[in-house]
Amino acid sequence: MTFLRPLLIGLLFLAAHAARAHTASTAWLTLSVSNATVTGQWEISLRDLDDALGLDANDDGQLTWGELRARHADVAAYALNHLTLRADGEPLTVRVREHRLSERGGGTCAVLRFEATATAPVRDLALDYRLFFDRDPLHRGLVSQTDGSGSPSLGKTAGPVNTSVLSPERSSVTFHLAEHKAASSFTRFVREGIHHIWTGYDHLLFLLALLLPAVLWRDATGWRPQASFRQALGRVLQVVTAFTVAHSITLALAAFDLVRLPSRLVESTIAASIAVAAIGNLWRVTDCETSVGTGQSLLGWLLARPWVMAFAFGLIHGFGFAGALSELDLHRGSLAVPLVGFNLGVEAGQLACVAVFLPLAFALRGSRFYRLGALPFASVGILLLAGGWFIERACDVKFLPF
Amino acid sequence: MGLLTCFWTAFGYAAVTPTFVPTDDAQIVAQLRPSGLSSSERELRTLRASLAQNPTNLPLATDVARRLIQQARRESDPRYLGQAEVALGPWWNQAVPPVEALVLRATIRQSLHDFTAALTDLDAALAIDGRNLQAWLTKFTVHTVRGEYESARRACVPLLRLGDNLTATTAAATLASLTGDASRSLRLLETALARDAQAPVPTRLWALTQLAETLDRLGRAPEAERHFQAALAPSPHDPYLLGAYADFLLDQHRPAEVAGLLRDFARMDGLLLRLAEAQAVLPAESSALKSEVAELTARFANARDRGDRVHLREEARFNLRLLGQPAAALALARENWGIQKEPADARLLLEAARMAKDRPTEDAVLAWVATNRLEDIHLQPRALASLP
Repeated sequence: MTFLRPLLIGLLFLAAHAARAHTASTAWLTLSVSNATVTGQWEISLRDLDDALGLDANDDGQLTWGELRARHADVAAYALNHLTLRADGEPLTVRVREHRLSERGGGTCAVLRFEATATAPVRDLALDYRLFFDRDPLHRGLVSQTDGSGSPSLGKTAGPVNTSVLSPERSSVTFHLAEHKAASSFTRFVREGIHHIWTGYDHLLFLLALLLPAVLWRDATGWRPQASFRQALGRVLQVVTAFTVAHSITLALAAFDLVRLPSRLVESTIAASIAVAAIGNLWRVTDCETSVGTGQSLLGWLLARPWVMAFAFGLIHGFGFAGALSELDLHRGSLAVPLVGFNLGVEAGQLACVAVFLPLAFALRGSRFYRLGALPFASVGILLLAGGWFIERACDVKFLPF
Repeated sequence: MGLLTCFWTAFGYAAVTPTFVPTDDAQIVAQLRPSGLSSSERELRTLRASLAQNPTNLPLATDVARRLIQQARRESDPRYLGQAEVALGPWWNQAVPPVEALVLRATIRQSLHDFTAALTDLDAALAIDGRNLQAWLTKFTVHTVRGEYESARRACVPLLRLGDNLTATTAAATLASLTGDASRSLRLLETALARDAQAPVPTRLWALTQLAETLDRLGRAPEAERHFQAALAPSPHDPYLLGAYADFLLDQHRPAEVAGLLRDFARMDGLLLRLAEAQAVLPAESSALKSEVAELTARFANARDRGDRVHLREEARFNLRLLGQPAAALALARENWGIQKEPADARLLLEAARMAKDRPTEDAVLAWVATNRLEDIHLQPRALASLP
């Protein structure tokens, strides 16, 4: 029993200890596919390689570059022996082209840069990973597949398209390249579009200002409720369609870099457009007539046709969307997918709002609350907010909390 | 942009790490061990080689696994736990392996914070051999760490019968110090340490560390200091002790000593964290601090990518004290609290809740402290009032 005693205590402390651990054994494998060529970079901890291969020739605890260099062939053979790559079912022959080093996971890693060539452009890249699992089941292979535009061998930074944690329980993975690329970025851009319309309140506010009076019509005495839902729906559709068509046009023009406007001008004008829409709701109908035919102002004609305003200002909002889209760091040449995805996202977000707004507004349209309360007060609120934004954006200052 | 940020940083992806090629063959590219191969490491290497030839030799396998677990503890490196698992390979996936293998499997699982699986193994082992001291001791530890003091008390009783005096006393005193009997705990430990002056170093280390930590919780800093020193003298490299003493020094506003104490231990994540905390309050160390915060960020990101859960406590602390992110710290501290409930975990959750202005969580921790009658000055309103 005596010899066991220190051990007992040794074991006992472990519970508290694991939390102070070193980084566990990890290797990072980055794969990049361009047509039929697969390039990769594999970073493997030198401590783990030493445990497997005995790299420290003189066992002094210090590994020199000379000691490591002498064993480069062994390192490459050992690593590649524990990795199988298949391109659409065809096993690939992997050649290590370069040995380098990196600092990662609290230690130095051997960096293996390798290449493999398939007989045809790769669609599915399958990976069977076995490194160190027979020596340390806690080892994990962190695999990322980047798209071909950023090759690791050039040290370029390409975000991973796909990542996977490989363990003894799950040691293989297949990356579906062509399909994944289009699908993932498409859904991603749709989500970004929805995200943008929901978080960039200015577009929604503009729409709201134009839609508030859609369930009403005005005569010389003021606002009156629309009689039929169909009529109200028709007006809403006019406004939304005009806005959509207009911003789609300019979004495409800007995304393909055919037209460029300074973002300060675009953002200020967007703020101004909201203010103008709000003012339109507050305009006293006696100040203007509803038809140009009677020889009165253009303004009167405009107020009776909010879709014209939606279209005109929609053109400017499109440039605003383009600004948001350009922040998404796109690769030129594959612009169509993001553009369509992002735009669809914007429309979906917009329609969701309209679907909530319209029935509610229609139900309330006859009430004094809506005509005398909600419409003017909401319009004044929108006007104040938009005015604030306009000053902020035009003068490049910040005083509003949102 | 939130979504997108997630997308690009899948894997905490530091883009592509910079790589390099040394120009000189004599350049040292990696420090594999703190020093040359020690005799015990040489012995272990021989044993592993013969185990590879004869993998089903149970006594050899358990010997190798035991040595590897000790090495994991000494070096604070989970690699050796994985290697120990391999040594136990033929028995690892059996429902009921031989008792020796079962207890070692429990120890490895406990070290990886898989406490539930560890307890299942320990109960299975004790069903076969009710006199297995190691199994009782490990069970006691797991329950204590999880704050399950009633179960810990039940596991402690057999220790008094099966274990040596200092081991049994230290276990009982540990429990007493956490459940409202800190003064009795101190008396027990002092008496036992005085009587068992010849007890093995690791046992004394455990007892002295317990004593120092209890004194610290009672606010008796000079005495705590004395016992930390007494523990450090024969065991200057013990990672747990170094961490505990560094925490004590940080609380005592003695960061310069922490920097000196831990400078050579930056390879261990938990000690690097404390080193960085010390440097954060030492004006001369601001450049070192920057690189250490980056290093810790990378290591925690790596642990998260791997799906590890053993770093939650340290990661919460990192977020709270070094990144100034109380909301993130609170989420991590809460997750950690679901796994372990040591005084340090309670303190972290409490401080994170206070700084994130989460009153209900704060009250819940204080209620837990009151229920268990945990005596700890760091959990007093006065200590909290000093938080920024």
